[in-house]
Amino acid sequence: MSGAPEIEALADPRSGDVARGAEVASDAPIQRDPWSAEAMLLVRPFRTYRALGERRAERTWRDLARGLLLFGVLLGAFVSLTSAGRLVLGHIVFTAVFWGFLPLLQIAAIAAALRVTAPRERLVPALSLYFEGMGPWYVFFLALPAICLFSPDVYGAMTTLLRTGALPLYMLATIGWGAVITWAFFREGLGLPRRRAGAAAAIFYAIFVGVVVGYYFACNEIQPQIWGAHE
Amino acid sequence: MNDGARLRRLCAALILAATAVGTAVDDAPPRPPVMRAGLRVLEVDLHAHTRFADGFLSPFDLVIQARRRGLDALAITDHNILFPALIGRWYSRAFGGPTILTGEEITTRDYHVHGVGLEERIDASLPLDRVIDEVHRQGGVMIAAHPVKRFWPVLVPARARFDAAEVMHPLAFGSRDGGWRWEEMRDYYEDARASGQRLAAVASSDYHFFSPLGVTRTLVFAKSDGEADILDALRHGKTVVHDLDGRAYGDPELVLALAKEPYSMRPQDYGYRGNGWLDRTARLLALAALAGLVLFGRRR
Repeated sequence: MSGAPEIEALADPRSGDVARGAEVASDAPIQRDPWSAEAMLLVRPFRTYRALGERRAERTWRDLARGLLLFGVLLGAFVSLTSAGRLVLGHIVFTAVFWGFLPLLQIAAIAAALRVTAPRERLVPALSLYFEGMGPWYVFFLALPAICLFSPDVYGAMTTLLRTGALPLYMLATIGWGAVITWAFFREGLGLPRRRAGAAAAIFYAIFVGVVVGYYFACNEIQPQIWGAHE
Repeated sequence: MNDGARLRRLCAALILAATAVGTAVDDAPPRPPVMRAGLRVLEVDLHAHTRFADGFLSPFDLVIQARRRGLDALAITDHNILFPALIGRWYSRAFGGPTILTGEEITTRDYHVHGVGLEERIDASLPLDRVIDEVHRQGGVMIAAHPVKRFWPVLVPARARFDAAEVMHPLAFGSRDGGWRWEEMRDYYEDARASGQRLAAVASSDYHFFSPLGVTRTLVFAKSDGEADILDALRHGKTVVHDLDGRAYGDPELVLALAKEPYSMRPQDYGYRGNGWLDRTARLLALAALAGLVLFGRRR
């Protein structure tokens, strides 16, 4: 996969000629490798987002829906495989519904970030582009079920991964690589200048993290654990 | 359509097939009524969390998981919130499932306690005495949650006002970082019994994610599997739990009844191996196809 360019050539379908770099913007590019945008963004976020971003005007609601569906399926499958050990329709659907706040929150945060830093950017193409950068989380959603399915002693394996710090480190790496891809989305996917991309990323994370932490505070789940009960 | 798109479609079809198989074979063990000492023996887990706190599963998923684990009743006890338990109870009543007891783990810096059988949320910022008053005013049961030594300065003076205490907990499988030791929970309960207090023994899984809901469970001896009867049994100490060495804690008469006529817990499989070749194949296929769904596709 690492050797495959994002878009190897642009073709003129009328002649069948392959004209690398030719300006045939209305024609679809030929993709010579089987790798998805998610996979390519995982290994080459900047280069891939640059290539995808150049054609983002062609993106529609369908592309966004496809990205959201993939996110829902992967998250639902993660919960289903780690709790039941198998794919169960109820778990997939209920997880997608009950964890649906995650993509909704990301949509809201991206919309707010773009409103401030790139008000002329069309939202749907930008969002569909953003949701193709969820690769690190998809790998995470597959890695833990894989440990469950293949480990002869799941409890022992998980305990070892936790005690040695491997699992928290992997979680941090997922968050970190996800942040790099998000930065690449603003910088290369949308072509924002460095400062605007920085501001967009800052707004995005401030809203996303702020709402999640705010929920726990609003539910009073955190304060009594820090300050104790009132006397 | 290019190769990537074809492969992605194939993976999507395989996921659909694996989901069909997984859903079809995902059955729950039968729960025929078992009687001992004139009461119904119920397998109950009194401590579980949802995604509205720090768990993975939604309240609906938790009910499905409890059914899968062969539990007769489950208390949903999220940190300082009650609404997930109410959602879970609604789902179980509407679509079938074990009895759901609505609870809240009142979680503070100085102690963790469960109010089970609640209808209104209890403010975790209240002092413990008022929390206990409020749980009892609602007709709920007060349980000391994993009463390890760190919480004793608050939980020991209040012990006489508790209805139950967790004696068994996944901590028994290995001490948690931060110095929480299972033996301290056991000592909290045994000190109460030694001083003549009739404290119900409780075993809970403190479930957050993955498979082990009900890995440690309470045998509740109740008139029926209804909420009111289970709460009544807890209030009157009609429970028995076993530690990893098989030692029994709880009502001496019920322990004796079980010694005379042993009760076998329902089969519990917390592994991920699956049952039969179809289930196993579908599990592996699902994982491979999900990976394919991520890796393959047409880039736009």
